[in-house]
Amino acid sequence: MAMIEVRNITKAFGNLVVLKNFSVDFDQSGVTVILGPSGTGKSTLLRCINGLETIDSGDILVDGLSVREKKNLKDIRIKCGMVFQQTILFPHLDVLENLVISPIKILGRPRNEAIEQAKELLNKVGLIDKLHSKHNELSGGEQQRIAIARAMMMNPKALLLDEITSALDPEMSTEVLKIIEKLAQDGVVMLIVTHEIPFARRIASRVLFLEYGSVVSDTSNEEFFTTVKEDNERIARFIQNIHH
Amino acid sequence: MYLNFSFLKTFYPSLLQGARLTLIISAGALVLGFFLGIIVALMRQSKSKTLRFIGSAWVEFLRNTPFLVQLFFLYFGLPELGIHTDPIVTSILALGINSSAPNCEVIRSGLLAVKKGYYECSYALGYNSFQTFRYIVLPVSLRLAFKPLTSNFINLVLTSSVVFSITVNDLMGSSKTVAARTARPFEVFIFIMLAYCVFTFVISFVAKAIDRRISITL
Repeated sequence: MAMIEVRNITKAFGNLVVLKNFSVDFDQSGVTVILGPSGTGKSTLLRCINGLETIDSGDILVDGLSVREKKNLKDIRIKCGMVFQQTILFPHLDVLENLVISPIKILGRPRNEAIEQAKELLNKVGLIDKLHSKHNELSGGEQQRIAIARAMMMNPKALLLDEITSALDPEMSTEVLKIIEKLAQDGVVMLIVTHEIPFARRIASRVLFLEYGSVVSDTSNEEFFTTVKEDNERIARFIQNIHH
Repeated sequence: MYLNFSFLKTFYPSLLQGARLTLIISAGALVLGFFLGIIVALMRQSKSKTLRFIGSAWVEFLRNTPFLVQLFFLYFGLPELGIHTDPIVTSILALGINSSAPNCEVIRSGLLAVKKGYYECSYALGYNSFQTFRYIVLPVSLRLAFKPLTSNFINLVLTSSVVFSITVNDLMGSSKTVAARTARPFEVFIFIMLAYCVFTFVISFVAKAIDRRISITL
């Protein structure tokens, strides 16, 4: 059984239909990169999976739990950690508290255990020295790395990353992308919406290309960047435009 | 004319007692006004039209009626309803209810300053609406509202001087007695004005120290 099953969903904002009879499955392993022009429904797809947007029709099952059932949302969100384009660290808490508050309050984990895990994750994202810093003492890239660590604190089965480097300068982006690569090597399942083509090529095991709310191409990394790119003029043009 | 403050030697115990009462009434009203302010702010933010209406009516009513009238209404009105409270409790109730209106507005502006992203970020981590409010939105908005809440509290302390009119021997009440007994109203009220200044100065000083520790930027 796929970990995330998107079953024939439609999502519209007013008259604008963003996802149209959209179906796709995501397995319990690997990194799926979702590419496509802006406004094509990539972020909306992630937000629907996480239950932040309600779907108009169809269903999404996460580990067998339907996002249409309100009572499932907490479990679904714990299973699918999400990091946004605009980093939001809780401003009244320092870095450590930002990391430990959710596992303590939501999962009921002991504080000591949460602190240990937070320190491990901060080591992994290279920010152990920022343990007691506040959000306004961190750069954009550092804040985004903390946000990734905070999502990992909930031990999610999958991470949904929504254009997490698009608000960052190239140097900060590189810092963040390195962390994502490290997590991918550790076997964390990820669904990544990005416009960073070289990064996508390095990290993806599967590439989804979306346009007008539908899947244009769903292939392996190798296939996408060789065969599909050569055969599909639209995709070739998209990749070329992104590069320039 | 010369100033003579020798009355302080004789009457300082009653003035101290009055100051203590002013502090008790102000502290009680502060707590009541704060929690009522949060409740009314939430009502004004509610999705329910009825709750929003009640919240707005509460604030507008309190803002548009004199505090002295509200105080007399409770002091003389509650016994009519069979509720008998002593003047001190009535003072705390009246001041608390009265200060809930400006507190509500300040807390509401703090709540409005917390953008949609904070809610979404919390929901995405698995928080429900109550947990989001309790652990994220409320602490953030109260920190943002702290400074204006402090000036509301200073206003409350100053307004508390009115409660002498329902027989409470607070700082103002006891000073009136001292002024009558010494026939030195000028000196007595100079002293009382200074005493209120000291109160509010200390509150400002402590509030600034707290604000330095808890202030945040979004």
